[in-house]
Amino acid sequence: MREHDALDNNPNISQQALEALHGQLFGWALSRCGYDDATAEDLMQQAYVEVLSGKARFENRSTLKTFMFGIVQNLARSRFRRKNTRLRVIDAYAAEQDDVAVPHEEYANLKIVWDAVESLPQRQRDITELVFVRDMTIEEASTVMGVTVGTGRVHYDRAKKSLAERLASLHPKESMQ
Amino acid sequence: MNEDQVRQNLKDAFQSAEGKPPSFDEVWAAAEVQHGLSRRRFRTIGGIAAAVAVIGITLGLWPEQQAELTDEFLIADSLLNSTSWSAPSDSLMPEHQFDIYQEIHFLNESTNSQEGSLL
Repeated sequence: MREHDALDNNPNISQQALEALHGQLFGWALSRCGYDDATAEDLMQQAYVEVLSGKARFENRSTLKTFMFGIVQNLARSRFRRKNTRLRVIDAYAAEQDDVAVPHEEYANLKIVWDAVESLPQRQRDITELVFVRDMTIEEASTVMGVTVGTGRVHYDRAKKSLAERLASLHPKESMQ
Repeated sequence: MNEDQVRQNLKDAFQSAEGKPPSFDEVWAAAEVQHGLSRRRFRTIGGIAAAVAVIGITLGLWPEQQAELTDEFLIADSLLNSTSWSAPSDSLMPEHQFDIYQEIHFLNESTNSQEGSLL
């Protein structure tokens, strides 16, 4: 059914639905471009142009979230193909600390988490973010990444194991179930 | 450490790095402007191309002399492509045969005769 604010060139997408995804999509765009706010915003704008023009057409074959994350992933891939996009999160976080007072212990814990995430290979890092942070299923995450579900599952299992080992120091008395 | 704790740790870490997203309305408005501009640009370029073509045809910008030369060339070219020519004697020529006078430049001659003929 066509919603009242459905897009002309993409009748299965409503502006309201995009707005609901906006925050999560921005987070994904940020991690695609090394946490550069301006570049992430530019990626988001480009993704919206793709759906506005109908170049990327949503046919309800997946969830809208998977579809939009896939667009951002593809745009980022084509834009940064020749660049080595490294996570600069710790630097960004450290810079923020000048303005915001964060308890030392909390910062140390975050650094442990980021070190663990950074140590993962790119695909494991991506599936970790999509499943753990963006609340996607492994199937949805695999679609966004453009890999088979089997491959996605392998990356997920390896990432989970690696993270559990590296983050064990945060909760030393427990082990990963 | 269980899966929920890993999930929570990761969420906290990502949220601390992401900060506040830009306003949806602003990004959306910028996208609409960009979309509108590219569509307008496409229409403008198409319109200009069509107008130039119409003006060119109307004013007869194609030089008459050049058109005549082109016509002549096309006629000659099509004639050459549609015909073939060969000399009438070509069909009368026999298959290649060995010609002793043409293909051996000097002959060993003898003054000795046998039964009245030179060897």
